[in-house]
Amino acid sequence: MMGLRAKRVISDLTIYIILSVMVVIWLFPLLWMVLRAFDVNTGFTSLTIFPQKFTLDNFINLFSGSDYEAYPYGRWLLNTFLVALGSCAISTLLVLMVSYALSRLRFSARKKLMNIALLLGLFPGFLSMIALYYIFNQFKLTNSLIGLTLAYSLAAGTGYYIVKGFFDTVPTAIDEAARIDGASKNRIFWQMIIPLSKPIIVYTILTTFISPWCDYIMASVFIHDTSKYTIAVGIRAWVTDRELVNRMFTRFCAGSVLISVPIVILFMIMQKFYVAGITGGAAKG
Amino acid sequence: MKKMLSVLLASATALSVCCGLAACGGDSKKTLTVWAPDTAHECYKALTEEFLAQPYQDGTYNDYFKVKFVAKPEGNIQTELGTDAAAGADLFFFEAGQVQDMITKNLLQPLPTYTAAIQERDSKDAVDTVLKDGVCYAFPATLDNGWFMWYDSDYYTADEVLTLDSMLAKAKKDGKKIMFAYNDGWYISSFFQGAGCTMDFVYNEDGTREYVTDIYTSENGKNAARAIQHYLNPVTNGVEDKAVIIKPSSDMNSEIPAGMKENTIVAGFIGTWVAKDMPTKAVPTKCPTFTCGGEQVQMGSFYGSKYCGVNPRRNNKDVAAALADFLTNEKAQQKRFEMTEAGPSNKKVAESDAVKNNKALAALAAQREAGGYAQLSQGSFWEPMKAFGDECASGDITTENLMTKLEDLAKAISK
Amino acid sequence: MATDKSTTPTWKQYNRSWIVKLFLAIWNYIGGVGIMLWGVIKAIPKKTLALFVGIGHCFQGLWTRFIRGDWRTKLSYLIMGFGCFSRGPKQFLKGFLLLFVQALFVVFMVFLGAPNLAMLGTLGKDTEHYDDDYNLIKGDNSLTILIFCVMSIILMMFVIYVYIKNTKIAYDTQKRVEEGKPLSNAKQQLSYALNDGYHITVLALPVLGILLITVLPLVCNILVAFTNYGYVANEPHYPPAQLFTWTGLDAFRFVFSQSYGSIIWRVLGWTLVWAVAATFSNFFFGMFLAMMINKKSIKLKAFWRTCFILVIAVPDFITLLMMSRFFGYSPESTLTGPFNIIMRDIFGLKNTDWFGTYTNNALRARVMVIVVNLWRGMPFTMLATTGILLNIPEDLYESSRIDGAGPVRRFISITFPYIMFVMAPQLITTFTGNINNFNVIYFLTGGGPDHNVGGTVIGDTDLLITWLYSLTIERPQPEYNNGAVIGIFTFLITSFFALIVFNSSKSIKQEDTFK
Repeated sequence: MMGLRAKRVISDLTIYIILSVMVVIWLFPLLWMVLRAFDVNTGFTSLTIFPQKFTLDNFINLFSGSDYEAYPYGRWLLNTFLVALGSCAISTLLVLMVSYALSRLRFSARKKLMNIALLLGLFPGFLSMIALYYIFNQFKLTNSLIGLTLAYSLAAGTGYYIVKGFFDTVPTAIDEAARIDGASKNRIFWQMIIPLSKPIIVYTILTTFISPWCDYIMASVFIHDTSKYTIAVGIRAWVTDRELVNRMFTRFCAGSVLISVPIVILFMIMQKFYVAGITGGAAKG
Repeated sequence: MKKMLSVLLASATALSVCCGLAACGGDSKKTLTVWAPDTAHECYKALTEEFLAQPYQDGTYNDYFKVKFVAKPEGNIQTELGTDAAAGADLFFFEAGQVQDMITKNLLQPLPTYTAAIQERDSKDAVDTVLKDGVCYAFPATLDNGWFMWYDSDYYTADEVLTLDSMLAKAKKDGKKIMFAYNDGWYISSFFQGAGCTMDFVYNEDGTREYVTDIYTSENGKNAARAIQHYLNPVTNGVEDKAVIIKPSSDMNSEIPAGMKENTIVAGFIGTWVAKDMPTKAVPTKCPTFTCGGEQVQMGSFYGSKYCGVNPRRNNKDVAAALADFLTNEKAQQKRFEMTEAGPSNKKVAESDAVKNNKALAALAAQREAGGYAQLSQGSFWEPMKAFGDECASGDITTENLMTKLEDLAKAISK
Repeated sequence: MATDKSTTPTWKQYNRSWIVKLFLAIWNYIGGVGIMLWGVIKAIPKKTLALFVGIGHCFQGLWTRFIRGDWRTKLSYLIMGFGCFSRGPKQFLKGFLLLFVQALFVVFMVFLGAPNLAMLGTLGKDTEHYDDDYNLIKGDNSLTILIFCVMSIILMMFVIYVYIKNTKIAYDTQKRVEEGKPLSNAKQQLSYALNDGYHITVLALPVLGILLITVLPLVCNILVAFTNYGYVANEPHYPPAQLFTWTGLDAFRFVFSQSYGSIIWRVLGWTLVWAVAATFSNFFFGMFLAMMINKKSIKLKAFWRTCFILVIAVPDFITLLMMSRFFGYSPESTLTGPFNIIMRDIFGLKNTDWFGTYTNNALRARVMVIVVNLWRGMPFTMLATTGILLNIPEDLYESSRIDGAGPVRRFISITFPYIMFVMAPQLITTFTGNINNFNVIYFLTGGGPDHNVGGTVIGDTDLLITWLYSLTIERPQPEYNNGAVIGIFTFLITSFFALIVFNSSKSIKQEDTFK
């Protein structure tokens, strides 16, 4: 009996050691980034792993300073926030509508639509970006935040998959009861299905809100004016441009830390729903 | 949940209102946008204020226009402008290498009214690049886009830096490094230029272009390739930590000064723009000679101007051209030299004592005289050249496969 | 997997050797794909016939309705909606809506559609140039011509559909009047839109969005593959400065047999190796991580999980750029990256070029992108697997314990198959996602280290997708036509794998039986 117990203790201990080592490996690069954000030495190269002297200048320089006009981080923050908000609102609405139609309504083209949506998702996204740019250009929507918002959100319907999966798990008996009471399909959708789908709606809102913060390519093609940049386009140059990295590396770290904090918090909220979604899918098999 | 949706909808409306307001806000003044490297902003903003105070129509330019500066590096303007020129800047500063492609893509407004003045005031080297059918396509702003060598005067004597071989021998003995960006076509082609190869694009009457090079066919080219392979290959140059000639890992502008301060880098090949970061012991001079086909040959280097171009797809071209002229005339070049030590293309400023006494600019001039090569128009040149340098250094290119690889290089460039 | 009918498999079903199960699964997949492909091919003649029959029926219907229709119906063949709004105010809404569609269509065609369609054959004839006073005179823009042509054609298809519907509506209304039945009023029509026709109401906006943002650009870009939009034969073809035109299959020839012929297979090879390695490394390591954390006796589960999730919560362009810097290397020891400094100071290791981008080492670069991808991707699998692990019915373990199975045996026979059972379709989705995994490669190595392979420079870690990006967006002379060909090729590759998912995904096949 003691042998078994010892064995278990040893196996647990091994797991604790492995996990601790992994956590150190996984978090160290992030820790390094956070520390460098407070570094006095602004360049990328440094003789020591950690900064010798700490300062808040990198954060202050994000919002003021002599070159604020050239690198208006605060403005980029606002831009990204507005774009994220707008695209989140539109995307969520579109996804919910498509998912409801595909999950609850029966019509002749339903299967075909589902297949086409899946097929469209297989084309590499930016293959069509240049053409999309020219289309938007015709409507004077390039180099504009509204255009970028629409580009992010209008095609959201193709991403119906997870939400539809969730709607499928909501019992149809609810609909039937409501139909007998004389409710229209429209009312069933807004007043019965949506209130029952809170987790998946929160999940959708969060994912669509986060994605513009992470996108680089689309924004870099669509926006030309520095004052209309989103965060990703703006601060990427600080670390990839050879002429900037020496002055801006720590500011890049500071800017990254600043946007990462709220996104990490949102993501933490979202991942609960993510796990719930996956588990729901599992039960469905 | 209804609340949530209404919040969503409300925020969407608010957003569109905000953006709409932002779009139509502002006064009746027209905005001219200038793309310039951020190091030059301070100088050009001051000059622009002077420009705007000049008379225009019923008042001054100030009554009609305002000018917005945007930080854009000069090296990538044609790609930035290429997708949608009409949405780009009214005037922009760019490097010589892009001139020909920008002319083909109609990205440069021809300047017939300014041509005579430009030819009068600016150095011929700078003007020729942008001259097509007797018309200038851009205003030369500087003539300092070139490179030479900085060496540690505490370590090397002036005699030791005359040949690459003697420099390498000493550095190898002491475990010191020499930084040379062999992963960049702008630097690695130095050996081909030194050996006397031709490599340039020739534009025919009908606007089609042809690449003319003899780097594969001529004995000079083969000798230069052998020299590159000799200097960079892991056997002579050393592997990883042992390497003598090293390339920058990300940013040579900071790495060369930093390495020199740490006494680990004893020489670096770079231009005037690092002058302010360099320690005092770093001395600028022309590049050394290298062994090519058994003889000592001077290393070459590209030199070129930086220009200010006017966007032909924008309204207000005339005012933009007037501003561009103002930002590149004698006074402006004088001012930019004083503020940022940029090498002038203006003949008079170049002749001034202050410029002549500037050590870095003097070294640039000496290198240009000894082995200068007019800036090549951008195209398929840089990527294959970079790969060639890297492959030599990694040992992928050996003496055995050198000629096939040289053929691949020529093939890739002239595609 | 696909063979199991019940949703909660019993221990007996899992008690087969997992190798047998894996083989069975693969066999099923391949068989399934074969059946699917065969089904598609077999259906082609039938479908084509059906298409023609359908068109025939349409025309026949149009004709008979026209013959039997009264003057109102007949006029609605010319003025859409006439059959409705001419029969009283009840039908105004419906009728004027149809008329509105027609008016919009006519305006669009007159101002944009027709002028552009007229130039579809050549994609423009006037080239942009400077006049004698050096003013830029605008010419035709081949790309906008192409875009508006595709737009017109999509719109035309839609309007033809509405037109046929319109004649049907007109005829049906006429019949109702003849039979003396009451006509529907606006309120009833609205109620239709919120009930039986609700799918149209809900889907109209999303479908319009998808058409505009995804389908239209995609069709345009597929068409670009048949043009010389790029730098072809030493001549630029970049609108607005130049025109481009149709060149048939030249771009395909260029990519597959001429210049890129030797390297496209090389890039494809690495893309597949990368996708397999990235997918499976993430899957297995993520699974083991989740199992470790979820072991019953392990405390602080939430803490461990959170630590790993932190990594994926930070936007990936930040973490990836950071990693590329973190592993930075320079032979000059004072300039080298932080990882090398740590290795030197703590473990006394030699300064090493981990990413291989400095020393042009293909193998190191390839291994490192997979390793960093593991760092970035493993927490995702951990998250998903955690959910599944919590879901495995406890009685499966109970009965296995009674059978005397040890932990390894339990893993092989229960945990692993169960995870596979749920994750298999997702695994292949991840695989296709990895084929198109742009960010990891672009931000870590930018595709490098570069080599000149027979006259074309290509990066060792370049995937089809990053290659496509560098050909079209990063170049001073973008090769849009060749890029489009590579894009189509990538699509075919991914859709092959997607077909497998499609075929095996139970959630699509059995959703109705589930309800």
